[in-house]
Amino acid sequence: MTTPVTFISGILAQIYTARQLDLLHLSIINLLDMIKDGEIDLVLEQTKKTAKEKKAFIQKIIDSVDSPELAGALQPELDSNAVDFFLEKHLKEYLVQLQREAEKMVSVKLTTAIEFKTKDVKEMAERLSHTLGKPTVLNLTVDHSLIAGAIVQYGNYITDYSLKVRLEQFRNHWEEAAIAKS
Amino acid sequence: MRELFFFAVGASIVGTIFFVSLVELIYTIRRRKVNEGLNERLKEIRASYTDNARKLYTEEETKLHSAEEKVTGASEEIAKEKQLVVEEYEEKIDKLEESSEKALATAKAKAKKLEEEAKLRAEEYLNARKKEVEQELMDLVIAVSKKVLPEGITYDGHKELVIKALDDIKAEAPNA
Repeated sequence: MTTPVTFISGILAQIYTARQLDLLHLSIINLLDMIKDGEIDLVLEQTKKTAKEKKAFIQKIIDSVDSPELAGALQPELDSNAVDFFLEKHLKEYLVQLQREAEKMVSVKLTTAIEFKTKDVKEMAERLSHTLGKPTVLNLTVDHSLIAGAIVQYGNYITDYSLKVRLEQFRNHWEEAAIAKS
Repeated sequence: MRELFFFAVGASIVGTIFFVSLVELIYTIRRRKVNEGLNERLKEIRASYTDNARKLYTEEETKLHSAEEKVTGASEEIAKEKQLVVEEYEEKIDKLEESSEKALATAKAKAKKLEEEAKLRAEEYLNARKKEVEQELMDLVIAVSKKVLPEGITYDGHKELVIKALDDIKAEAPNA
């Protein structure tokens, strides 16, 4: 059974978009609800159920997890036959800690002119995490009218680095110069 | 006798001469007195005449003086009246001149204002047209830039611009 730290850092290392983070939160909440309702323990503690049946039940749960990162972290536990990992006393602790750490992640809204490759988005998120000193995810939007550059929104801070705005500024300066000249 | 005669004749002659002389003397004396009287009377008359004449002269002079004063007064009055009339006319003329100058100035000002307005309108129109042309030119430049720039920027160029924007966050929003 992996330690909570390894489990959590393994998942969070893969999260770099706001979409992934939202799915992770949703998945954690769903799993915690199932644990709270005692649905998992009810099945796993049944002596009548075979290990195969219990694994099939857990597989169903893993398949229903929306977050691929969380599902990907749970799958090896199931594959290593660590069924106890999915009992309330273990899984709840992992999920609560994961939820707490996920809540620490900050979201930066980034509007770009083109769609970037996944590896580049990940690189940007890592770079931003390093710059801000906090784990950061990117909420990506594509707006072709920006021409190039990006609009960055971080908390109350919003700034436009797009070429569209630079051109508009250039146009405004042109107009101001024309007015001043007349 | 003769002698008596002669005497008588002589006496008569002498008497006559004496009588005549006496008469003459008396007459002379009388005439002198009359003359004196006449002279006195003449003097009196002359004095009286002189007095009267002087009085009359004085009176006449007074009258003349009074008349002169009246004439002078009248003359001054006339001069004053004349002055008033002249002043009144001058004032009227000044007013007329002033009003005509004002009217002229107003007309000039109106003409200048109209000219300036026309000039201003022409300039405004020219500037508006110029601005429109410049705006159209700028719109064209922007439109061309918008079409050309995306094709001119490579994927790596886009990435570099975004990374530069992300790197600027820390410096610009430390407490965001």
